Amino acid sequence: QETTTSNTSSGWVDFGVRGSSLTGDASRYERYRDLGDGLFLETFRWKAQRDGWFLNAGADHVARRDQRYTVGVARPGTFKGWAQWDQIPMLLSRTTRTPYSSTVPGEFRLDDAIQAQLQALPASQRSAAVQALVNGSPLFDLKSQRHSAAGKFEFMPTTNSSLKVSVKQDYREGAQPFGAGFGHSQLVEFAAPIDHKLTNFEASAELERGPALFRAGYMGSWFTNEVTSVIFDNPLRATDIAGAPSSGRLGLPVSSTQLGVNGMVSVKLPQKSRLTAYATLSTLKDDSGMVLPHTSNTAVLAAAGPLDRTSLNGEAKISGLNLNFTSRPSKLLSLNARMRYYDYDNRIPSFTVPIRVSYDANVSVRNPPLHTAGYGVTRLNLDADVRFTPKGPAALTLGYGRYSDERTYRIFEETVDNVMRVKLDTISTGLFTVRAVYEHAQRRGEGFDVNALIHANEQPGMRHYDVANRDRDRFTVMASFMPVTNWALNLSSAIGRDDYLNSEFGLRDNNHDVYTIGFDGSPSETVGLGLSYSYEDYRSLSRSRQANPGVQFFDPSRNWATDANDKAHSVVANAEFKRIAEKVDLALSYDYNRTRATYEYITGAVPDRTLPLEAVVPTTLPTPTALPPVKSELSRGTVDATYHINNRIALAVSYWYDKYDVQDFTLDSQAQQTLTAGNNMLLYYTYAPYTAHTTWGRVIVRW
Amino acid sequence: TMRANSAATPGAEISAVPQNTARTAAPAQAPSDATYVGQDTCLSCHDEAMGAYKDSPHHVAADPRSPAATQGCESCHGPGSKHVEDPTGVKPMLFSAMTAEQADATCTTCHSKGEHALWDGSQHEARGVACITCHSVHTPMSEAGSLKKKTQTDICASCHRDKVSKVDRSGHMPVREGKMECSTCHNIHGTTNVKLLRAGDSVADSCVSCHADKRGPFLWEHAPGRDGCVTCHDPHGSSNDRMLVSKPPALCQQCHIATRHPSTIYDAGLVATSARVFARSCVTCHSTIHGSNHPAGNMFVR
Repeated sequence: QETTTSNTSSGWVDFGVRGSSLTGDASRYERYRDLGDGLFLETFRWKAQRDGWFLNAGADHVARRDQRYTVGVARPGTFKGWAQWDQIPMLLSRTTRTPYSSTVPGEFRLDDAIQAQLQALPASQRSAAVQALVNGSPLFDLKSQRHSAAGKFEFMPTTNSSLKVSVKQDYREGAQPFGAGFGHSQLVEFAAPIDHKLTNFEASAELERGPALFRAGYMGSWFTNEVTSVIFDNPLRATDIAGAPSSGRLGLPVSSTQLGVNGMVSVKLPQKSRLTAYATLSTLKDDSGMVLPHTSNTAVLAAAGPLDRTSLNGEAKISGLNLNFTSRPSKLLSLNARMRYYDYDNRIPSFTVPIRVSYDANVSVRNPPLHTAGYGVTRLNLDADVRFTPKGPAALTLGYGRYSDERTYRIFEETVDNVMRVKLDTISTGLFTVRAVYEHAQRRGEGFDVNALIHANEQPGMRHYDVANRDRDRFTVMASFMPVTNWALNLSSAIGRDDYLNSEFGLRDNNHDVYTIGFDGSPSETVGLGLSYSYEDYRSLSRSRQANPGVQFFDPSRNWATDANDKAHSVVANAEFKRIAEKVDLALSYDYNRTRATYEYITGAVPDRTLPLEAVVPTTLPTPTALPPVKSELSRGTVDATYHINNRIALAVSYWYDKYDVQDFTLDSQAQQTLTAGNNMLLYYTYAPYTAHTTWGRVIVRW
Repeated sequence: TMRANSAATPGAEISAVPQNTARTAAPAQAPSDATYVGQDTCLSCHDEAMGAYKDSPHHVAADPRSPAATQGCESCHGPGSKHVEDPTGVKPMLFSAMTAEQADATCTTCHSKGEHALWDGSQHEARGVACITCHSVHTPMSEAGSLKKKTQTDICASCHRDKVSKVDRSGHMPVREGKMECSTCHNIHGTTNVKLLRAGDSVADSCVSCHADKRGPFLWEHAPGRDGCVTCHDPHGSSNDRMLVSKPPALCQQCHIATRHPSTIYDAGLVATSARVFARSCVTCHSTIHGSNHPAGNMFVR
């Protein structure tokens, strides 16, 4: 064959100059990318054949913070290798400011003199002084960056076997907003350091022999966190005393290692059947993780007493088993059955805490002592689906699933979800395709432990929604029609109803309705058009009781609800015109996404959504002041015009319009004014709008 | 057919591609007594079919597993001697005339290992989604993967528009910036995990395969996180900070209404003044919400 003997080389490069005009929040526009002005080398691709070797190389966003480089080499049928270097920036804010300085990773310090000065102020003057301190601090970029090096190698000793090795190392550095308190009314925020390294290694061997496929694998995952605690000064206290620390300390994740093995056997059986078995076993351990001291407050540390133990000794055994059987005994019938077992056996020893240290300030005795409880889960999922294709293009599938979860230290010892489903797929006529699924599920819990709620001062009627009794109905349908050649009309809908039927408190229902309409068309070989609109509506109701301990706790007149509603509108439009004029291609696109969320407080009874078990009495709560809606709007438009000078060289101009608008009652610029309330020393991490125009002049060269 | 061709044009909807016109079109199986005629014979009439195929792995004869190393065009389309004898009356195996099962059977003759080993019984296979629903050997539009559209996101949006729309929300993973793809988390060809997740054996396993700082072990663990990160986060995107499924404090108050401040109505009056709700709300204090190894971390404030 010509392809195996000739030495060839081809590729292309896209480079030029770019400039942006931006008003507003630059950090959000460049959250995961680098769109800096100036010269750019956006894309480079090269591939070649040399003496039976296939080589390729690629580069994206060269010399930018989001740069990526890839190389590949293959000896067809024998060896494949691939390596990549990738960077992902995450720019959160360019308007954050903090008076903290940090010369030692994880230590956020204030000048002792400033602490002493603020401590000496009368309480009435402290708030203004703290805000002046923050406002006088320099701005800094709150950001992090992920650097990834990855490689995959596959060796194929025979046509039916292969050995694979993959390794990926992620180094993530930077900072993220972190908060802590010295009490309910005195918060601080700081840019907590991120200094993580994660190395994932996998190796597997695969052999196909006759009707059987065998696979055995090993995985290792090593996570290293260089900063496992943070200490932060108290702006209002220069020296430690009982009741007021000069600093606080909190824990960050410790380093850990997960090692495991897995194996799979898949066998072809008669009657177009296949049986697949997969098993995995791994162990997760911390790497000499330490339990932090009770407190950083030297004035109360001795009173806190010794720790139950100083080393974490965390360990979890994770095991899984899958059995999958598929069969197509005839054109009329097919069968899928699956058993999936998963066990997360948390073996971290219990840790006893006989004292309470509140905000590194006070020490008091706990009676009874508190014991940690390692959370574990054992899951057994069973699924069976029978598919009938009686006549014509339609296939009808009837299915049943039973999902059992046994958990430690949740309010239910076990939950069982029974799921019935019906699916209809008509995919064969050429004129239309319809896919529909209806699913009804009932989840019920066993072994309810009311003490778990009482110990947490929760209402006995609270049910945590991820384990609560629930009836679920879901219907999705997708249809495509091609009434005219090369034109397709697409419709889809997803409707879901979750009813938490025994949840007197907590999430009571959770519903969604999603509708999409769109069309795609190609009126000619050189024109492609597409337009779609989606409407999404998510609604939920959760129930609560505003209460302090005592009489209020049992008073149903203090019940209230949050009626949450999140609506989204999305438009996606695109048009491509090849050779719209001689040598000119034109591409246009526009995306629009608007969401509006409301959180309405309802005191007293909730019409049509009150449970029989709920005591309905007139409310004694004051009428809440309505929260403003949370709005988010993103619109993006692009125009790309390309002039092909010849088959090798093209000149192009691109224009991007990008606009983001936001209203958020806790995070937008208006909310920022409230961040100055009290003695709080926050970062001013906020949501802000932007409008950006970016223009690209590009040269595309192919060879 | 013309409709089949339309799937390769920009903007065309893949879900509209007919996969089985067997009852009206040519039979999918090649005549059993046909013999191989060789690729050159095929190309003497169908040279346009070389298109992108000539640059694809299928055309690498040095790979003994490739069609080019065996029967060329006829590896997938069946022996063509009868078609040569009667070009209009006898058709070779045309994928546009196959059922999903027939098309898959042809592709999985070779693509039965590695990424594709669990295709049988996978969610897509069980619904009659065929290899050729998403992939085109002869007229791919994507840079990699021989996809019928330019990007994975475009392909997946054909059916999963509601998921792809969320990528445009203010809180999202770097998908639209090109740093991740649907296949970063999902192997749509079948996996041992739920939701076609690529890594691990649970939703949480998949998430912590990158976000290992959340995997513990912890002295104090926020149990819903270990049960499934999606209890609180929507990995496809949301308008809330950190891709939360609802805005705090409303999100947290769906489970926590203990006496004192968790059960408080944080209305507009309190939002303006209470340190417990402004800024990042509950997690400003409860900052170690995924888990803590501090002895005083039972409420995740240390």
